[in-house]
Amino acid sequence: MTMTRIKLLFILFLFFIPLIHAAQNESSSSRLYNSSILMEKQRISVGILSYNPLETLEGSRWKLSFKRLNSHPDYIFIPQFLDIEALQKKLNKDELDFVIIDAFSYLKLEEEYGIQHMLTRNELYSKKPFSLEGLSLYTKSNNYNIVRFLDLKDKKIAVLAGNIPISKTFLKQFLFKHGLIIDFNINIEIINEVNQLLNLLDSTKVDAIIAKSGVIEKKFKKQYVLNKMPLPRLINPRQSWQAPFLHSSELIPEWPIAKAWFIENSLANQVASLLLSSPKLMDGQLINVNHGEYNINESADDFLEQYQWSIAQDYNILYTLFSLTKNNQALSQNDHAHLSSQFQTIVVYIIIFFLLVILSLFLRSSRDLNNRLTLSKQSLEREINERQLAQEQALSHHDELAHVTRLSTMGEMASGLAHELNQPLSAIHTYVQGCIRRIDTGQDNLEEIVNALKLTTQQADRAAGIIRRLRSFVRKEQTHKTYSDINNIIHEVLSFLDSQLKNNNIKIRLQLQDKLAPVLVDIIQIEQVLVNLLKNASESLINVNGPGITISTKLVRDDAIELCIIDNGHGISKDKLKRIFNPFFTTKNSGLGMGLSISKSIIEAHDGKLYATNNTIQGARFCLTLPLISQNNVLEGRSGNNNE
Amino acid sequence: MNENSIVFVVDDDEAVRQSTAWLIESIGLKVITFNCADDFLENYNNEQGCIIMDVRMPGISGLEAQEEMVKREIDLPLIFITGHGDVPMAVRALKRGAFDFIEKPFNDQLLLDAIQRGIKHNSDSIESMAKNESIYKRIDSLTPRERQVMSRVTEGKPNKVIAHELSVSIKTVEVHRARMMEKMEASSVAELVKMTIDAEKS
Repeated sequence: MTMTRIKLLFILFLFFIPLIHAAQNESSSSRLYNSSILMEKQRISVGILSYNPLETLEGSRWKLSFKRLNSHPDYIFIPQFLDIEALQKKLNKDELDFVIIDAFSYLKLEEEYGIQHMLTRNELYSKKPFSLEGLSLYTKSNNYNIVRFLDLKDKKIAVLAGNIPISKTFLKQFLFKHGLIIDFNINIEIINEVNQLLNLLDSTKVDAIIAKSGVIEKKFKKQYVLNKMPLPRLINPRQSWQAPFLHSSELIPEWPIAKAWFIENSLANQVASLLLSSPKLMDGQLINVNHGEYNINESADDFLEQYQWSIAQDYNILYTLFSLTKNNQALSQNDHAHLSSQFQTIVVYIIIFFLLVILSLFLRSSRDLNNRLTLSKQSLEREINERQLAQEQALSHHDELAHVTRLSTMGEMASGLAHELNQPLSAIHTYVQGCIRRIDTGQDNLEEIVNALKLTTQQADRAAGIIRRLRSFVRKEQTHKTYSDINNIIHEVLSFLDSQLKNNNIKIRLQLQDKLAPVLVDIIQIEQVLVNLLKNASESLINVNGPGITISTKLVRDDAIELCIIDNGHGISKDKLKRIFNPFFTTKNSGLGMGLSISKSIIEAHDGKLYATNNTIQGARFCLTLPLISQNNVLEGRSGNNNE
Repeated sequence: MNENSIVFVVDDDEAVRQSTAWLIESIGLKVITFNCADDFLENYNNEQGCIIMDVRMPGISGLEAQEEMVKREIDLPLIFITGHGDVPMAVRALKRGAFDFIEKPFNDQLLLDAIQRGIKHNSDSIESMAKNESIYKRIDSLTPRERQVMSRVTEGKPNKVIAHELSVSIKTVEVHRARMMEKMEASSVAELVKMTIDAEKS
């Protein structure tokens, strides 16, 4: 009875989180929302792993990150603090767009739901950001019963919430190293607050505590510890040049933010650039890259407690560091059940409190609305300019990446190309030898010899043509789009791949719609995508009876052209289908795993879409759409195209 | 070298096919070209000579064609040409009885030498086959008793032992033996032994 009431209230409370967030934003003045703007914006859910069901954005260190995210004109980012089970449930239903989660849980969810990391969170130590974290194991300074990991057997340990997955893996790891893996005989209690953790240790209710490295030291440095407790003793202290703190465990990457599998790269890029443009610290001083807007209301100290972001770390390192195998997870379900029960009693009071806070905030915020609207307009304009700049930058990186991948594709195709080039070369060689022999032996039928020499030059032309195509494919140049016939591009690509397809006995069927309007594309990049897709298709056709690829083009909805590449190969398994467009995901022994990822971003840069499905009977199908641009432009483009 | 020898060139690439033919014709050999192994197998009519074939071709590959030739008892020396000179493939082809394996672009002398050796091998084997055939004929003309005597003579047994083994008189053995030597057209026991060895080999 009371349980259901509590749950109801809790749901009500969750519902209010975004409202609290919005209200607080308004009152804290730097980012302002008119409620009508809020209504039009698309909602983006960001799941944040939290072991504290009461966590709110205001109290958390994610506040600044969300402030940055919510400066986006089209989207509103809504944080959801969830435990691991709830996260999994929501990811399973595709209800979360982004996830912020610890490194261990990330690996698990990456495998299960195909989420893809974008950035790594940074924590500040002595005002410098670090993207690695460690764990420290402490015991009371006068407790000499525990000096080694080995002494932890049958001891009681408290762990700071939020570090549970890594703590468990860490403990298991050294237990394993010390031959104590038989059963996990350490009692672990999960604590939410550092002071509480220290109190437990001080009052010897637990024998040892585990916390994120540096946290306890920071606490002592700032003299937040009230009862004059001496600094606990660190067990197995380790130091490395990568981190400024002592730590007991291996260093692992900090929490990543990851996108769900269905999120378009373009949105992910925008999120990343928003997060990366957070204020940076230099020489211990807060330098705001964006016109100092954050200096208005908040002191530098507050920023120090906020998370920053940097380019993503390599998370696969965990597999080697902790000799994990995939599917081996450190999480156990009991912890979470235990945790939530701990909080149920306080929930009611706090909800009432928050409801009051919300009410008062709403009243306050309605007063100087006009004033803030003008402010918000200015800052929005500024934001738009910045984003344009960032997008331009991203675009130039994108071109470079496309070029590098083209080079690597070319590398993979090298042996096929060598064969293709070898044919005309050996023909030339043989024709000429035949001529020489005839002249030497005096069978000088001049007409015959001239004819053979003509055939020789044809072969030289053929070789030159191969080289020319190859060079244009690997050429590095600024994207330049021309109006082109998609069917011509297909024929060009097929002549490029001819020998490879022939060697694998693959039958090509073309179902091309005639007289398609030209599309505005960068020909080389579209060729790159097609080469890539055809290469993949032909590789999936190994050991298939009657291998074939169908290429079709057609007009869809009068405003786009759809191109499909359909093979009758082995198809793509369901779990891989979610991940094939992720960078560095590959099922091949060779290859970078960048092909499809870059293909997708090329097509998206053309305002199109690239997606994969399995055929109902056999094989896979990759389709891409390219939008048609209005008729006036098309006419202009046509004349331009004819000049080529 | 046999005037009737034909060099068959099988390659899917027209330029390679025509240029190879052009080169081979320069030493006065007759060339017939095919653009796939299927066509060759269909049109081959027990001509003498040798065959030059690309390993990788659409349809039946060179190695598959080699198997098919063994099945159909086509005994032409097979020279493989390939643009991908990979050792395992060459080993496989040679183990299955390919005559030679030449990389493209080929040294003309190397190819022509291989062709000439191939043709010679082909005509030699045809000659020896003809010889063997006549030996078979002679063996066929022997009576069972004469055959029994022949096998014992080639084993080096004296007449006395043969007579004892076959439970006949020495005189009878002598008669069988003389008739057998006459039918086999062998002037000495040594020649008879050589004949039987040649016949057994093939």
